[in-house]
Amino acid sequence: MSQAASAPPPANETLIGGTTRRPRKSTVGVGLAVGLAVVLLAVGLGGGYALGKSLGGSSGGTTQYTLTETGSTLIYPYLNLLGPNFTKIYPNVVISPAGTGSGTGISSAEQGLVDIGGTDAYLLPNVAAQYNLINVPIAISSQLIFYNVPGLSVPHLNLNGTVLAMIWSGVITNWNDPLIQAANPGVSLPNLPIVPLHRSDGSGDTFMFTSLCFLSWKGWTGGYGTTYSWKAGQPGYQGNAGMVTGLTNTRGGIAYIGISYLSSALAAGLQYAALGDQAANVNGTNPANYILPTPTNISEDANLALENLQPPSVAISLILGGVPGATNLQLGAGGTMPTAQYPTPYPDVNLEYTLISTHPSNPARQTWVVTFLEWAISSGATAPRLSTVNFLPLTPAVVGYDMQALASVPIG
Amino acid sequence: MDRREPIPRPADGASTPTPVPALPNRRAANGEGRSRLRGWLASPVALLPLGLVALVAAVLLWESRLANLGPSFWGLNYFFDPSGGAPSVFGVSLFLVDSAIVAGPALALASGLSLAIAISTVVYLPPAPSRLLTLLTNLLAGIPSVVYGIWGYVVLAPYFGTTAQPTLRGFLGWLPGFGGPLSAGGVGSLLAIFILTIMVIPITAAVMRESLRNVPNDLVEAGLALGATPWEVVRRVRLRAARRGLWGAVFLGLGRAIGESVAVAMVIGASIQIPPNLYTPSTTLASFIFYQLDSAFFYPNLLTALTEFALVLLAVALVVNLLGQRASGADATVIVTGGGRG
Amino acid sequence: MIRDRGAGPTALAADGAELAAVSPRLRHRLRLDGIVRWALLGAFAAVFFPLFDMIYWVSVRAVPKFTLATFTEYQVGNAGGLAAMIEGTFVLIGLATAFATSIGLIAGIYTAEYAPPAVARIGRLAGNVLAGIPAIVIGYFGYFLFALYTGWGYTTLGGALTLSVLMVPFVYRTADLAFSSVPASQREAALALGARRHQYLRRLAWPIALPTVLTGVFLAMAIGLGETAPLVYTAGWSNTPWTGLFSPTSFLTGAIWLFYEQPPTLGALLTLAFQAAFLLIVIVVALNLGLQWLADRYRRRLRGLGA
Repeated sequence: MSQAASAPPPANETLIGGTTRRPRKSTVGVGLAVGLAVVLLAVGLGGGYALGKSLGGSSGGTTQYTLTETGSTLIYPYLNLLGPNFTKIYPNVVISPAGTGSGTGISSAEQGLVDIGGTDAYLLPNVAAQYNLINVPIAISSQLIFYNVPGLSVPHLNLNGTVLAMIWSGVITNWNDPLIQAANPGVSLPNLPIVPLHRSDGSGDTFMFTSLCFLSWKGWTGGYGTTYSWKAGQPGYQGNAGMVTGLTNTRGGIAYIGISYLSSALAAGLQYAALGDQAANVNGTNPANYILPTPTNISEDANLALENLQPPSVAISLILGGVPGATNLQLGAGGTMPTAQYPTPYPDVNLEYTLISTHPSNPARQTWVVTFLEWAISSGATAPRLSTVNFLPLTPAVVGYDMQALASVPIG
Repeated sequence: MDRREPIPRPADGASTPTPVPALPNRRAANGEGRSRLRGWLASPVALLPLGLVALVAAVLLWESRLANLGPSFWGLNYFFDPSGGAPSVFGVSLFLVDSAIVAGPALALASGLSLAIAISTVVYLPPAPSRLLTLLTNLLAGIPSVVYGIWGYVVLAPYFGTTAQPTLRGFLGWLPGFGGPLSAGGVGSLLAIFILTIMVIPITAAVMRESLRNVPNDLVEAGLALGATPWEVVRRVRLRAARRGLWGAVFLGLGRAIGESVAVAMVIGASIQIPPNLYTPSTTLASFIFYQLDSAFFYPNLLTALTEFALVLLAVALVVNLLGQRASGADATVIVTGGGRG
Repeated sequence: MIRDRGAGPTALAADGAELAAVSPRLRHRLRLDGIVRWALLGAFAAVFFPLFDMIYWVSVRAVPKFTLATFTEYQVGNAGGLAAMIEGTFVLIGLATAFATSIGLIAGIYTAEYAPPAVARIGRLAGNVLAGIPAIVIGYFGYFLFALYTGWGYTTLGGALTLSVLMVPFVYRTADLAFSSVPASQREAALALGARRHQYLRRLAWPIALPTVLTGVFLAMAIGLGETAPLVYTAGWSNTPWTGLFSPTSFLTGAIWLFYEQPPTLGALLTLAFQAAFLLIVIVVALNLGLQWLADRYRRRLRGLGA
């Protein structure tokens, strides 16, 4: 079976030294003692510590609560900003968030593994009902299309959903493509191959971006979701940070990146595009249809989609300000085209959701979950906290919906 | 790391010194019958590891529900429409091929370097530096893979994009697989191969070292006595005598290479395709089921498919590791004692 | 160990260059030997340069920002220290080592000492199989079993149990090896003198086997320390002081995995990721040194026993 079986005793060194040397008892002893000590220390301390903490957990006056959250990596830093400030007001409650991904946030909430599930993509209302969960948006986020094209004469290229869908589908392959040129009159575009980047991990950003492509161009195949069967050969990167790094290294590259990473992408010398509204998807040549992701424009899109929503629901994609009649996509029936009231809605916007249970196993604990979320969407949502991650405050309509939903959660 | 007793022992209670190598268990003084009974009573304890393996396999089987075991499961196509617009196709062979494309070159490189390291430590270097260098090599095995991952994607990727890939193509572009488009950002198969090479070396080097060391001294001495130079003895005696063990090392390294998920996920570029050349992004089975797990929580049919992929990975790793252990007589614990048990 | 150098024509060449001068063919062979020697040594450079580059790079990002607070403070929002991760790693590795050592050691002793040959063979095979299962597969398994089936959710206990599944084979195989390699002469002497099996095990085999068992435990700890994939979906995450076996916990590799994705505007988290990487490297180096040291003692000891 093995070689040594047919060979003489393999211990060459042993044989040579063996008969003459005596065991070095003292060093062996010391070695063992130290080794054992290290292992025992680790096991004993670790185990003892574990035991002590387990037994001593329930002592003390007021009950301490550690509310756990897991999910979207975009929400993670924001909840980190909120948590310590909430604890300042309610010292017996600590918020412990984890950035694992939207899919984990949803599944963990469904399985009851955490108090709060965080996700960039809403949970379908029928699924949410099945698991006794509700969608509670806590902020507005948006997505930017960054590109790495040196030497352009304009700070922002004009791109629309159709063009983006064609780029990631491999229909448009060069920066000097006539369709891009048509949207950017007067801009000298280089003859440079386009390298479209995507997220390799499951991602709410991928959900938003594929939704945008899906809604913008009929030729888009493969649907939309947190994962997508990308065209072969396109490089994928881990996380938004990976996208920024990857795009920085990729001349001619283009990527969808969450707005939390705006400053790091700008610091890396990347530029972002103005995106076309629905009119631009049909006829992309009018520069007036291209909108920059300013706070005003992002809020406009959210308002457009949410204000006229019937029936009231926040399980909605804010892409393109919502799309009329697309009920099978659960896109709601909010805004359509820019209106007089909201003339410049940036099209690639989403709500950041938390999922909480409507049938909590521990109502006393759920009291604090509800209290935290009520605080998080009202007095907790201060401008400095939001702007650190470039989120925007919820519109009044969404806050109203949230408060109503939270009030319906049975608490102790 | 041969488990057989190197030293012959007397048979049960007998006074004859006849070696009985087929009896590795320690039944002796306490009476055959009772001992045998105790032996069988002890079996469940000795089989705890088997129980764990069975438990892992059972849980994965149950969760996968073998829902996708059609012919397309063994195919080269992968297509998943998360919104359910089109039927999904989960072809596991695509990922197996990708794993092979990445692990193959990594293993070839690692084997070459490991062989050089093993020959140096066994033949050329004096004991003290030899031990130090062995220690350093083993250290590579202990570095967490996520640390390799960050280093790979922040430090190495830009370098691969601007320098390593173009240089390699410049020299070897005429070879199939070395020409064609580069991966602009540096992530891709080549970087994954590089990282995997470093991660595999400590295993292959340790097993190769043991194999070379276990070559009978008679053969080596005979060679030297005939006036051969050390290199001639290595080439004509040691390498030939140790051939089996060296192949075993390669397989054990392969086991590690195809099982790595985190580090590969961070540097391979995650494109579901059979890469047209060494530079372009690709994927592997292990990294795919890692970076898609979050999405799979979103889509139950994806989760069952990925769990089936995990089962396939389990089976492949099992076969490869057993082949390696069979050939080399070493196993995955080799690094402990591979430091030079002699 | 017979080293090939110091014998053969090389030894002659060292003090007798004239010999080489006699035969051009011999000179050629000797030169080839020299070239090969240096070429082979070059392999070390090829392997160690990346290792040192990585350590250098991680150190540059981590070391200048180390303060006492890095070790003592908990993560507060997007800043703070690594106390929770150090604590969590400590608890996870301690528990997992305890589980893995108890299972691995007992199974190893039984395999080496009691089990019938056929059973022992199957046990060893299973141990090797277990050691070869990719960590991500164990991660899937741990998530289903310890997070879902038990209904615990993400817990420290679930993380430690998952980790221990990865660590068991290393303890098991080394324990088996250690007890199997106790020199037969020793064992026979003990049994011939009337020792019972457990007396033999406790008084004779155990002290001889202990160093090898310990190296196995060290190796298992090093393996456990470096894992990320099996813990992400079993131990969960927590940035608060650790609160118990049935609550989630954080860990050092998780800090790297979670924080390297954070935007640089929250640079404190990125620094924490690199500091976690640095700490892990230091711990792994220490464990490796300990492991090697034990292996050395063990070798000398065996030699002393005349095995």
